[in-house]
Amino acid sequence: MTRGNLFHRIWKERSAYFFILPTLIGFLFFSLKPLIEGIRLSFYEANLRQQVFIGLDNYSKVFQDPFFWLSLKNTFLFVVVLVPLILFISLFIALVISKLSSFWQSFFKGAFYLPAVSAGVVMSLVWLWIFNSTYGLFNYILSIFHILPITWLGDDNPARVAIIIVVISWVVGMKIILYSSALAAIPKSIYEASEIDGANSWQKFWNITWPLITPMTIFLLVTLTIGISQIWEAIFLLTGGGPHYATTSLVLRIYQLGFLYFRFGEASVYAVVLLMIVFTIAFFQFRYLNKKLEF
Amino acid sequence: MKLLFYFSLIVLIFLAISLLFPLYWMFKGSFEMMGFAMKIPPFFLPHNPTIQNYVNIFIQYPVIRWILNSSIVAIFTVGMSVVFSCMAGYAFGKKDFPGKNILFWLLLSTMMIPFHITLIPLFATMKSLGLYDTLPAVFLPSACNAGGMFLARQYMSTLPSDILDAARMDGAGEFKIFTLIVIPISKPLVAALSIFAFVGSWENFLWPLIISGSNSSRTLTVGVATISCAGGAMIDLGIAMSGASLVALPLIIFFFMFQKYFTKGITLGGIKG
Repeated sequence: MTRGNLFHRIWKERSAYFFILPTLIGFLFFSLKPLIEGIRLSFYEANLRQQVFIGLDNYSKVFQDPFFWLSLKNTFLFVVVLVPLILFISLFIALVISKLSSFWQSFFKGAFYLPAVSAGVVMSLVWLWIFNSTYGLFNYILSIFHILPITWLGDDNPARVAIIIVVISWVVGMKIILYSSALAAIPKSIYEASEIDGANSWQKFWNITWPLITPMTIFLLVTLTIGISQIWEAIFLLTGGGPHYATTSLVLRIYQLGFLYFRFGEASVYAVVLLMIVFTIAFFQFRYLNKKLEF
Repeated sequence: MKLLFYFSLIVLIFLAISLLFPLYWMFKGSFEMMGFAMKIPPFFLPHNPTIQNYVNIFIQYPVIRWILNSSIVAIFTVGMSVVFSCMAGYAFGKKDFPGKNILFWLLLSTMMIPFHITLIPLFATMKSLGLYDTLPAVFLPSACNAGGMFLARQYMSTLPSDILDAARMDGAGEFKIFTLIVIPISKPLVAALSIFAFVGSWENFLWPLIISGSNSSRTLTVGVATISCAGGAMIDLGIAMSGASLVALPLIIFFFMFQKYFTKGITLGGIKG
């Protein structure tokens, strides 16, 4: 294509550029520029008033900080526990729902999606009450079974369990809807054919359902991993990162360092680490899994 | 096999009840005085129901101001993000122009950038522009939304091209085609985009928390969170539950009004295309 030809085509389709212009400007100002700024700040001693270039000092400071490794470990722990649990629960629910009539299907989809649509703040506040060790519902239920009260949000592992329960309760709703749509897309005739061949439910699941919903599982795996690695809100509201930093995550540290202590440089190091994690996940998705996915 | 199904059904019902129960518990608690709400063993139905908590929260805190702020933020977020998403979605879904693929993937990749890395620079920019603690600072960063643009492209690319070509033949300009043909036949898309933008803006927490320094730009969600708990400690149960109910109520009403668009939007944006 000649140069003049290209300009001619661009001029002919000028309206298309007009249509994407607002989004493009938004992208430049609210994503690309702050992204570059954020990476730059990680090499600076920065607060609200001044910025001084200090090379890799922030990095060596952060990598020697035990709280960094602790928050990385906690974040990893939440991802490793939450992602498979959410996938399993939502697939289980979607499978059971798929056997019901369409009225009950949309009833249950709505029931599970309702907590997801209620704000994270709302859910966190209610669960904060339910998990309260003296007047919360959870310990009351345990007491019925003669189990001694647990200080849910005051001990390391119970606090982690509490966070996990809260996050599950508000994340599964959307995943159920996605799994349901993947299940509904499987042609009934495949199941009927396998029934003639004498396949039982177990075989039908592993030989037909599971392979056909694998693209959805991969999609959910990737988006959930990226999402949970940024876990923050429930922790901020339920435990504030405690007890003894047992639930402090990477993003919570970004908030604390950046907006409580105004140590922008160090906070940016955390953000860069988070960016690397997310990009690694995204890279593996494109490198190894994209063949199976149809966008 | 039948047995397994019935067992699964029981688990399903148990899960549904345990997920919905916190919402019931919140509304119940919001109509009880603190002493009754904190009683163990608990009352499972509201004991001596009263609206005193709601009266208190409205008297003690600038709740009306917060609701107003949240509404203004929601209106601008919905308006801007829906219009911009539809415009970009139309160009990417229905037009062919040099650089289209590169631009699309560039914009879509912003979905992958964790919002948190942009947090500090955005905060600094807003501060230097003198927008700190103003409503535009709260809604501007959500005006463009890559997810919404993706959803719009998926939807628009399925629109029949011959209607648009026919209009072009009749001499209609691109702007006319967009406003008079594309938008009217994309009503389900506009509905889904608006709903998601509204819900997202109403429950948004981290950015509004950081950028609002006072009640003049604080949203309802941020306001309720800040008066209810501090680092994992509940301050006043009645205030917390009535506040949480105020945040949740519009979302729940919205959900029941537009349930089918929620499901459609999620599946359209989730995968396929």
